[in-house]
Amino acid sequence: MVETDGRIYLELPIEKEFARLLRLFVSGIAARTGFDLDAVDDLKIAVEEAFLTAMRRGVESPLQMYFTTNDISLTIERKGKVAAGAREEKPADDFGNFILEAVVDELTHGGSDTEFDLRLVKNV
Amino acid sequence: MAEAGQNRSLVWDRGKTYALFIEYRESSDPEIRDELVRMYINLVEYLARRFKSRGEPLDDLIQVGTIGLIKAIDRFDIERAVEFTTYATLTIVGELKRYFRDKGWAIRVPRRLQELNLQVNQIVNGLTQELRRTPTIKEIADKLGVTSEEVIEAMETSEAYNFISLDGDLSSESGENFSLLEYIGENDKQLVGLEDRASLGAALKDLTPQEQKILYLRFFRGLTQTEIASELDISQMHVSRLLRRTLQVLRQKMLSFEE
Repeated sequence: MVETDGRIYLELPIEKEFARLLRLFVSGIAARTGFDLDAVDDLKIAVEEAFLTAMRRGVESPLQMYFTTNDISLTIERKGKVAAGAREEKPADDFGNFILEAVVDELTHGGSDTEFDLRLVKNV
Repeated sequence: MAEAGQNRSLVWDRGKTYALFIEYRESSDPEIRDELVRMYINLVEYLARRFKSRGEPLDDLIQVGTIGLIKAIDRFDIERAVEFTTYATLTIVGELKRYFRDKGWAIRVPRRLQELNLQVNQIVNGLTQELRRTPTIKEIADKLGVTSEEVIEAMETSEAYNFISLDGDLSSESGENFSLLEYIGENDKQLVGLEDRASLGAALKDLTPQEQKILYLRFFRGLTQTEIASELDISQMHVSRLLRRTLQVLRQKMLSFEE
């Protein structure tokens, strides 16, 4: 884990066991940011969904996660490489997006054909 | 344990019970206590059977219930206007619930964290009422005199809690007969972006009515977990656990449709 100018950077293997670590990790950051209990739980759901979607889509290890906090929000960015064509949406992703939209304030998909990037923003 | 010739029906001699309690209070004679245990062991058996479907041997449950009965005998105050059967039932059921609660941890969780988890669970409701909003982790930690990290760790341990817990069974009553499919119509605006509604519909059938209700309240009506907890009269952490499990079931089901 590296912290530079309020942006925390985490690299972790794409293995299911690390989803729990990510939940704990985001809980810690969210607690420090001042989110209430409901928002902390929303963020745990969000990072788990983001992680598992990346795992399902065969993102190469390690997955890169960036967390940027300020007084009013927490921004989470997921960055990962996938094989060309693997970005095509499937029903489980569709459902995942539905869940993500419910638990965060902003949801943006990004990256090129071989990148599986995601940006989530949760306001305090 | 139960012996032949004992009272098998759930009817007891109140006069004899009263006389034995007066004698027991005066003498503390263990033989009188044993007599009371023999008289009321059928109540233990009756109550233990109600918990039989939870995967524990009936004999073990009767043993646990008997501990509850002995505690009830030792603590019962004959001056109070309450029947011994009423008092004993509460004590025996309490002992059985405690047994399941302690056995409910699916993986080994340190006692300290189990206890802290329960404390966090209890304090959240009080703090929510006191602050008139959902508390932060720091506020919970300050109230309990522990660090935020300990609260987070304790909250996460609740994921290790097995779902045979009695709270879950009791709370499921609040979601009885609920069907999410009846609530989400074809033109539901929250589902506009969801292309494969048929898959979701099929996946929802694997959820209990209570899980469907929680899912509906959180993702379709936009209630927070604390608000859902209040509406269903269960704890926020319980909502959190159920929600996580519900999402896991749905993810797996949706994935199976992809394969």
